[in-house]
Order: sequence, then structure tokens, then C-alpha cells
Amino acid sequence: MDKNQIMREAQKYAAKGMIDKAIEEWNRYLAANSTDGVAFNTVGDLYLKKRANADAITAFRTAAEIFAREGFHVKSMAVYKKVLAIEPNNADIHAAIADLESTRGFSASASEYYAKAAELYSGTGEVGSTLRCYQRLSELSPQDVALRTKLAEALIKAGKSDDGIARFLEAAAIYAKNGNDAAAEATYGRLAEIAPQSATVAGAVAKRLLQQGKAGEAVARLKPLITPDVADVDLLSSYAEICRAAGRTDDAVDAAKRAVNNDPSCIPARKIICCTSFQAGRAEEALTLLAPLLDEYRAAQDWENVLELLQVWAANAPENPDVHQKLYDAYLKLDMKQEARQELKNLGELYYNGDQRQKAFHVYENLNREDPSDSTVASRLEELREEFAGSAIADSEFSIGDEVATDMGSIGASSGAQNITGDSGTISFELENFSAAAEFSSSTSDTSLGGDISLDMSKEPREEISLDMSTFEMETSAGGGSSIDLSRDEAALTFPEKEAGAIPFSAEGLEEAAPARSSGIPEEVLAENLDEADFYVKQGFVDDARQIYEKILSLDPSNQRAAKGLAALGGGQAAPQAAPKDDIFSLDMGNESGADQSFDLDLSGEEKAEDIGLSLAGSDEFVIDEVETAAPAETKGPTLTPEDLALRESFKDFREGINQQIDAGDAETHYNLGIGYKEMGLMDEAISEFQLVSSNPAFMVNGYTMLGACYREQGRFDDAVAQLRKGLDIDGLSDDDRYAFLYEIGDTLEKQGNTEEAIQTFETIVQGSPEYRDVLDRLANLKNLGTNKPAGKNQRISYL
Amino acid sequence: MSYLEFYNFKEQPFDNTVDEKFYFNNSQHDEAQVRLKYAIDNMKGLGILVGGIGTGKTTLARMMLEDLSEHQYEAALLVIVHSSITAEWLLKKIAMQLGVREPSDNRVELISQLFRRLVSIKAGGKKAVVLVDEAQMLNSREIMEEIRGLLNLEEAGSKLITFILFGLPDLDDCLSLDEPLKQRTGVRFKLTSLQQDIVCDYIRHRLNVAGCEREVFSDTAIRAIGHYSQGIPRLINTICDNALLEGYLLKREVVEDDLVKNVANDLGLIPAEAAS
Repeated sequence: MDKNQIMREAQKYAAKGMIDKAIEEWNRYLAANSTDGVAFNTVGDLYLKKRANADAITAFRTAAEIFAREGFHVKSMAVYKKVLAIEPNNADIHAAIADLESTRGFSASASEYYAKAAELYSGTGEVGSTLRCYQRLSELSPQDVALRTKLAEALIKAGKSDDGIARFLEAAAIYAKNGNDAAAEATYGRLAEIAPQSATVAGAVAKRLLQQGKAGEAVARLKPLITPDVADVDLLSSYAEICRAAGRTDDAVDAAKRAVNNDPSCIPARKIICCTSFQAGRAEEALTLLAPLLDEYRAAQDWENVLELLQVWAANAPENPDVHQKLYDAYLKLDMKQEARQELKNLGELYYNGDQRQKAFHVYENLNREDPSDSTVASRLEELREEFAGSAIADSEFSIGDEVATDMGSIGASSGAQNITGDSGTISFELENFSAAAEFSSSTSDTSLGGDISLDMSKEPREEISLDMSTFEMETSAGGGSSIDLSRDEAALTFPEKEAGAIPFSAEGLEEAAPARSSGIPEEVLAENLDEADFYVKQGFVDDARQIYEKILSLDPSNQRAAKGLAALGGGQAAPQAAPKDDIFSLDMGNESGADQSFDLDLSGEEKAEDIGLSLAGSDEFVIDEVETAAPAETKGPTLTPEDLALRESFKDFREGINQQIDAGDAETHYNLGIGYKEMGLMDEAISEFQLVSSNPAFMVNGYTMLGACYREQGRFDDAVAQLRKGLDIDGLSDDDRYAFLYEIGDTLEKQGNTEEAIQTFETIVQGSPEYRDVLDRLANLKNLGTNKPAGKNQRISYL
Repeated sequence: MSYLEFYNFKEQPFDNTVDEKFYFNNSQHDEAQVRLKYAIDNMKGLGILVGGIGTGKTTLARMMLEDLSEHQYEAALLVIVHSSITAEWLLKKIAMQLGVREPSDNRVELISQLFRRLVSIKAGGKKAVVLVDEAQMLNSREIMEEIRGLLNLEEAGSKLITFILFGLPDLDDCLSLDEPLKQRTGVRFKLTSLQQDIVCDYIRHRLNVAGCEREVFSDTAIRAIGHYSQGIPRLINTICDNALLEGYLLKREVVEDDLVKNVANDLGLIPAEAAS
């Protein structure tokens, strides 16, 4: 089946108004090419023309589904909207658009469509679909409690009690968190009505009572459910927690042990046993449980629970420096700086009063650096400094708990010494639970990660050493104290993440984010929205396009592309004259400075194809160079039948109407019109429009290219080549544009049968850019290096 | 009426386009095929076929490709038409031709992809072969090294790919750019021009395939063709084609040696003093 032939036939019929014939041809094509979304879209348009709405919708839906599968979300949504134009209350379509918007990350828009879909589904009694939409809505708007409640009711109605109860509980928790006690109570009350025997509900209600300080009531609420045979671990742990809070330690331990017996990995229950063991003075038992619990909570980054355990421990073992170190670490994680500092002071005092003056020195040094105005610390530090004056601080492991950084930049380490020799070598620095490494050289070129960093701190006078890890230049300067300062970025480069408790640096900050525009909107988001607006313009969804342009301009008034787009639609401010910089598929082609912007005619299935408007027949594969027909005899244009003449007459009125509305100087609009006429097969009209725009410097490249394409369609190869050659004479033409013109010229000459000139043209391209598209293959074919092998064999042969 | 109709040919007998049905299997080509096939079947790594212009290298390359059935071989023929290609481009093309989907732009990744594909070809019981025509245009050390690198790919002690390079005698100079590669040549063959008696058989073979049912060249004409063409098949085709055209224009049923001489002169195949 010659696909191109079928498409041409279909186009011809469509241009002549023979819609049924055109549809027939298209369906013939689609029978063998059932994944061609563009073709389905075209068929949909044809059905629409003959008011066969049901068929149009079917075709559009198929097209939209194909586009969505292929990742062309914008196209898919545009086609879905065509369906909505026919059937505004089609719930499936609203849901489909919502899914696409959600995928694209546009939650607000997705929520609108989901809400509409849910409303429509519930009106027709489609419970499952209604629930799905509400579910998605609640995921998109997690703080929308009313929605969550609505969803919960719907789930209960649909017989999905567990899901419904879970949604109610979420809603109640959000109300409680927001301080809306009345709503929270009402929700719990509703829950108690729905599921009076539910352990989950009872547990949640009991916890709520506990939060309100009603521990006794909470216990009373749960106790009836704690029967001897109950094995619900969550229930048992909740009861244990409530009993502990109510001071009923024995009941708490009993329930917790039952929970652990049923599920040894029940962390909340184990925590209760550990804490109650501490409280009961069974330190050894508690400590056995403590270490793995701390590890679990650290791994889950649950610092609140870590803190709680450590506080219980500290209360039982205040002389233990280890617990204070860990508390310090936990306070830091929870950003409780005051408490962290106090803990550090506690630690310092412990060391000072114990036999660990050296460690005390380091601690006070660190405290002093953080807040030199703290006189208590300063005087203690001075005292210790005098004590250690003149002596080297021996190699020792420095530890202020598992963390060594109090903030993002400072390590605050002042001990640990190995060799620094000259300008290169190995720096190693080892701290408790932490190690990091770098090898450095004075050339600043190589950095490698891994190993140890150490500093020789035994030099006198003590120096402040700053290590620029990103460049690895060692700088030293005299100063007080001894420290290593690293910038966050540098540290992130240097220190890999360890287990919980490691330095809170990550490499994420180093990743170069996409530069945000002055409006704060990321480039890629703006570009995507602008592309969407352009696409809507082409599809005739002017209102949608205008909305997007206006929105962008409200956030970024200097956005020239949006301004131009809006101006072309007849609204908003005039486009400023400065050169646009945004990457654009095809329309915004030039600027005064002639910046390099290429016009890609490669129609290999990208969205560009449709945007460029060259996919006349609606197929992504309508690549001009793939047409394998012999060069037809050159004609001046098609012979017009009476039907054609009638069509043109009526169209003439249409054009006059359009032209009255458009300013002759509005090149972009004329260009877009030209694209539209070409898609409809009205070449003469398209040529007129493109001739208009070709005098505009901003549209010369596009204009001449499209003129070449139009004349080629009409078989007027000489005219086509002439126009394309005019394109080569454009001042400031970029290399890409030049090759594009040459390629089209070569292609046109080849179709015309002018092989020799075609070869010369392609050779010109090869001399400058041998890898440009498939020019080498084209050249080889023209030079007759092909074979007479059957088609299947050719794929084994390639021309380089 | 064209000369085809005049001489009653079904098709042009002396078109220089490679067409298997016109393939003339002389002993020289036969031997070349046997040797190169041996290199392929025994995964010798590198096979070389050189020959002067028009001696039939391209024809042989196409015939070899035809001969390598798709059931047993994963074969590709690369025809170099331009000398500006890069090693990366070549590697990518080889990968694509051997069936690597979405070849990476990263060279290291591309080689991994190619390796996996070659292993998969081998696992499927096939042999991977790359034939390169006009290989003398790969005149770059980088490309030679790239080919050598691919020839290093082995699995379980056996090579994963065979290259057969077809080219002008300059190809030897290209290989010399990478001495280790040159040393890996498993098989080498040089095509020479056809002997006079073979020229006669060659011409008659082509006429036969084209549907010619009678003699259209006299014996002296054939000898003259052999002489002026120096046994180079492409020149034989060109002289014959032009001679037949001339014969048609002059309405000569049989082309004699005088016509052949005129054609050879027009084609610049006769030195000036001899022409006079």
C-alpha cells in the first residue's frame, strides 16, 4: 500500500468537498496504520464536517489516546477538547484531560477537570468512576479536607468501608492539626456511627482524647476492645501508649509485650517497653532495646522519637556523655538550636568535671565560635587554653556526637592530625562516625572522593586552614583557633552520606538547577506553556491560547513570545522589538539580530511536524524526501473543475472577511493563515499569504520555505526552487537554515528529475556538513550506487 | 525506437549498475568469494579485497552480501561515499546495521550496546559480518583503530565480528596507518583485470542475460574491446554500451572493431598518438 498515494487521494477528495470519499481513503490507510494519531484526528475533522458527531468523537478519542500513549500530552488534550466542543458533558473526556494535566504536573487544572468528571459521573450513577475522580482530587489537594470527607462518604456508600474509614481519619487528623476541633470531633463522631466496633476508629478516637489530655477517657475507650485474644498489633500498641501516658505502666508494658509477641518488629511497642524499663530502673534491659530502636528511628529520620528515647535515657543516666552527644545530634536534626547548644554545654561541663579536659577544650572552642559573646563559655575556654598552651594537641578522635557540623559550613574540628606536606598530598580527617576524604594537588584539577582527611594541627602557631575542596587549593592564614571551614557545596562534594547521624550535607544542592527567569518560573515550564499556547492557536482554540499568554504575561511581563502571541490574537500589549530568545518549534523564527534559529523540516514523527504544518496529509511520516514517485511533468497548477471554482468562490468571501480583520503588517497571523490554507489544500491562498510574510525579515526563512513547499505541491518545481534560492540570499542566514534550504532545493530538483543539479546541491551540503540529515544516503542514491535487489535486502546496505 | 529495440534486448546489457543477474562468475571472482567466505565462516576477523577501478569489487561485495543468508549471518554492507566520516559515525552506523536499537551517543555505552548485540547474534547461531565497500576512503588512523577495537571483541575465545574491506589498492595504505590492524588480516585477495578470453565470455554472458539471441559484436570487435578496456569490467561495459548505441545510430546489425575504436577514442581510452 502506497501510503503517500492514499494520503494524496484523501486530500484531493477533501479539497473538493467529497468528504465521504476522503473518509473512505483515510479509513483504508488507517486499516493498515492503526497507530497514526494524526490521521485519526484528520478523519475526526472530516466526520465533523459532515456532522457525523458520534463517528467524529470516536475518531478523536482514538487520536487522543494514541497521542497520550506516545507522550504527546498537549496534542492529546487539544483533541480531547475537540470532543468536549461536541459533547461538553462527556465525563470520560473530562477525566482523561484531568489525567493528562495531572501527569504534566498542572494540579489546579487537573483538579478542575476531575471535579467536573466526578460531578458528571455521580449524576449518572457511575460510582467507581466517581470514586476514582475523588481519589485523584484528594491526592492532588491533600489539604482539602472537605473533599476528603466527601470521598470518604462516597467510599462508604460504595461498600469500601476500610478505605472510607481511612479517609475520615485523615480528614479528622487534618482538622485537628489545623485546630478545627469542632470539625475533628464531628468527624470522629461520624466515624463512631459508621464503625462502632472498629479497632482503628477506637484507636484514633483514643489518641485524640489523649491529645486533649483525657488519658483516662482514652483508656476507657480502648479497654473494652483489649480482650485476651486480641492480636491486633496496632490496637495493642495504641493501648500501650495511652496507658503509659495515663501512668498505667504495668498495663502499658503488658500490652506492648503482647504486641511485640505478635509482631517483633512493632517499633512503637518496643519503644514503650524500653521507656517503661528506663522508668522502672531496669537500665540494662532498656539499653538492650535502646540501640536498635535508635537505629530504626534514625533510619526513618524520625527525630522526634529519637529525641524522646534519648531524653528518657538521659533522665536515667545524666552522667553519660554519650547520651548527651546523641541528644545534641537529635536537637540539631530537629533544628532546636537553643536546646542543642545547651546540650553541648552540658557535655562540656561533663568533660570539664571529668578527666577529659582536652575534649572539653574542643567543645568550648566550638561553643565559642558559635557565640563569642557567651562569657561563661569564653572564660572556660580561656582557662582551658592556658592549660594547654605550649603543648600539641595529640591525635585524637574528635567527637561532638555523631555530627561535627553545627551548621552548613562549619566542621568545627580542631584536632586530628596527619600529614600535610607541601602543596600536595593526602588530607585525611577522621571523626567519630564520620570520615571523609580527598586527595588534592596544587594543580587544582583532580579531586577524588573517598579516603580520609586529616590535618596536622601540631603546627605553631595554630593556624586557620581553609580548604577549598572545589579547587583544592590549600590556603593557610594565621588566626585564632583551628578549624576547617568548608562551604556547603564543597562539603557536599566531599562528604558522602553515611547512615543516620552523618553530616547533613547532600549533593543535591550542587546540581545545577535550571536557571529560573526573573519571574521565578523555570525556563522549561514557560517554554512548555508557550508551546501549548502556540499549538492551541493552530488548532483554533484561541481562548485557551489567550488565557495562557495572559497568565504568562501576568507573571513575566517582559516575555516577548507571550506578548507577540497575545498581540496576534488581538489582545494584550504590543510585542516589544527586542529579539526573542526562547526555543520555539517553528513559528517564531527570526529576530533582528539574525540569531541562529533553525527551522527543522524533519517530519519524523515529532510534534514539530504538525506545528510546522507540513504534515498536510496528517501523517508524521509525510516526509517530503520519502515520496518515491517519478518526477511528474511540471505543471502550472491543477485544472479547476466547476466544483473547485464554486469552492473557491465561497472561500473568497471567507478570505476577504478574514483579511478585513487582520492588519497587513501582522505577519505572524498571515503566516498562520498560510499554514491553515495549506493544510486545507488551498495552495494559491497559502502562497498569497506566504508571499506577504516573506517580505518581513522575521519571517523570510519560513516564508520562502513554505513557498517552496507550496509550489512543490503544485508541481511547479522551477518556482519552488526559485523561492528556495531566494531563501539562500537572506542576510545573516544561519548554517542550519542554509543547509535546510539547500536540502529542499536538492529534493525538489530530484523530484523534478534534474539529477545532476540535485547531486551538486547535495554535495554542497556534504562539503559543509556530511552528517546533515540523510544527505549522504540521498547523494549515494542519486549517484546510482543502489542495487536492483528486492526491497527487503536494501536494509542491509547503508551509505556513509 | 531505442537501441534495445533495435538489437532486440529485453534490457540494457551493459549498465554499470550492479545487478546480480548479470553477475559473471569467472574463476577469479570465484576464488575471491571462496577465500572471503572462508574468512567469514571461520571468523578470521579481517578480510581484504583490493582491485583497480572497475575490476568488479562492488559487484563482488554485493554478491557476497547476497550469498550471506539472513538465517546464518547478520551481515551489513557499508558503502563509503565520502571521506569525511568520523570513527564515531562509523561505529554508530555499524551498530545500527547490526541491529542495535537506539544506539547511544556515548561511545563507551555504544560499544557496550554493540558488544551485547554481537553476543546475542552469536547466541542465535549467526555470524556477524560487516562488508565495507570503497574502504580506501576510510583513510584515518582513528577509523582503523576503531575497526581494530571491534575486532578485539571476543567471547569464549572466538571473535564476534568479521570485517571484509573492499577497496582500491590505496586500501593497503589505509591499513598501514594501524600496523596491528594490518597484521590481523586473515585473508587478502587482489582482483586483476580479465584476460582476453574471459572478456569474450563476459560480453557474451551479459548479452545472453539481456535476452540477445544473436551475435551483435564481431570477434574483432570483442578483441578490440578487450584491448581498449584492458580487461577492466567497468570499461568493458562502457565501451560496449557506447558501441551498441553507435551501431544503432549507424544502423549496423553487427558492431565491428572500427566502431569500437571510435568509441574508445571518444572515451579517451586511446593515447593521442595511437589514435591518429
